[in-house]
Amino acid sequence: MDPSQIERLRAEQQKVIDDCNQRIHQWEKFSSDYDALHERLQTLPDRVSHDIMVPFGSLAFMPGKMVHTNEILVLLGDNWFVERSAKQACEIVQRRKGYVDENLKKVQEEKKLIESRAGFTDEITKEVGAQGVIEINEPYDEVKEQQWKDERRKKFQQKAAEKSKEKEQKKVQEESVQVKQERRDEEKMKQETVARRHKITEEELWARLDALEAEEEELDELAKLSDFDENEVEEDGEEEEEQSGREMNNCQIPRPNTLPQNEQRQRKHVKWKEEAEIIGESDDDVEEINKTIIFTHTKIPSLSSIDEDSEEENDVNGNSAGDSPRIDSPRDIYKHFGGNPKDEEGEQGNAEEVVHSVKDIVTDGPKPKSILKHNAGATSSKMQEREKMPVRPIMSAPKTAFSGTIVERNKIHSLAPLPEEPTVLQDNAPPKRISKFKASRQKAM
Amino acid sequence: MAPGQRELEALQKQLQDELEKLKNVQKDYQKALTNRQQLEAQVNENKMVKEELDRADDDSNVYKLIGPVLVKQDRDEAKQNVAKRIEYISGEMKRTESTIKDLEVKQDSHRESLGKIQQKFQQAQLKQMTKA
Repeated sequence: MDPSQIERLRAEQQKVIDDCNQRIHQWEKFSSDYDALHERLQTLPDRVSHDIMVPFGSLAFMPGKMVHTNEILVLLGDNWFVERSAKQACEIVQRRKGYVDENLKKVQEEKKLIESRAGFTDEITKEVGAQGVIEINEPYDEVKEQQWKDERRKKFQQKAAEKSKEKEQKKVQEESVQVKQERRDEEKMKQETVARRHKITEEELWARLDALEAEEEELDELAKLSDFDENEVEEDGEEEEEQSGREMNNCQIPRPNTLPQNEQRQRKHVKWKEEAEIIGESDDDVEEINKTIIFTHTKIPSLSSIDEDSEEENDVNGNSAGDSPRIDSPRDIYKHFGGNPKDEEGEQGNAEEVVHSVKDIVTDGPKPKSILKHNAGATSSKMQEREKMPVRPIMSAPKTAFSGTIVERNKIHSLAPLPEEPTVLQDNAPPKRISKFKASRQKAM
Repeated sequence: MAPGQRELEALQKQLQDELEKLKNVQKDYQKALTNRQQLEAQVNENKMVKEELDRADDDSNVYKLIGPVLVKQDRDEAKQNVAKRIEYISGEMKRTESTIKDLEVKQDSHRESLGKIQQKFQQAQLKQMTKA
């Protein structure tokens, strides 16, 4: 900025400030006039007549008297007059004065603003005057800017196209993964995957997925128990993977990382289902057990008594444990000696225990830890408990007003498949839910 | 050279004409603006009068200054008159405001064309300079 320009700006600002000052002065004059008038109006009616010097024309005065001291003609504006008493006129004056004060305030504010602006220009003049202050000028060419914008847009479009291609690839891969799951081929880690890990190919992703699956299956053997559960899990995992695929735009390396996450989710999910199986071996049971979980139960340490227990688990507890409660974990203490409504909710926390128990079921033999309140030993014992379950709760039905009774019936139904399920590792159970995705793929296959 | 010269002169004339037009429009614009301000002041004045008349009692005397004569008026009549006047002035103000807008638009268009002609003129001048 040239100093001359700044100077000019400052000059203009000064003009405006002067104008503001003038106006303020005017309004202040008005205000003082009205004050004087107000005073005069108050003194006027004190006397019936006043001795005054009457103006004669513009140059002469004459002594005279002012009569009718209370009759005042007030100019309202636009040539309209109204006759008022002194007091009424006082009121009018007050109102007018208020109006004047308002205007005065406005002008003063205006002046303040302009003064601040003038202050800024003063600062600029100082800076410009000081040495070493350089104004930063960037060249701006409209045409060039437009070109640059167009180029950027093209690049973005290209990237977007690439990303969409990647997503399609991913989807295809995920589909193929699930196809394999359905076939139940336990493909082990291919050497290719190790070699091609860094390459980004469909095969590599397939293999990677398979490998992770294999790991998962080794850990969670129950995943093979029912296709039903697995399919459900797969469905969830499918969704998760697809979502992760959609989210990931740029990097493909993190994909292997997300996969385990998904599968971990699957695992967790699977575990939960395992728990459900152990408990009730049917989704209905799980749900209803969840429902029953909510209910509080009157806990009575005695394990043999049936009537007092209001929940199935307790009933089962009473059935199985018999004399000495088998305490394998602190949780069992709660089960037997300290009834908490939270106990049921914490069932999910037993996931790990359950896992172990599942492993035991499959590998070691009949010594699972049950999630239920009872500490049974073997699955067979569990089943026995289950079998007993329908009997006793029925007896206690009149005393317990819970949906436990309903659950029992379902359990009765589910008893049949129970003994089969542990053995069924790879067959497809009838209640198999297949996602549309898989169904279509199956059809295609 | 000659045709270039003529071109230059023609452009110059165009420039001047456009400038004249712009000046005229600007004048009109300013007039309209002042008109509007005046009307605004009148409206405010009449509003105050109406207020005061409303406050006054029925029996108080109202006068109107017609030339050098103060004529007594009926209060209600006075009120009506003032109200009518306010309406009339408001109508006038609206009209004036629309005129102002039109004039603004005209002004802008004139300025644009002026700018273009100026550009042409400058280019022509350059050509002449380079030719000569």
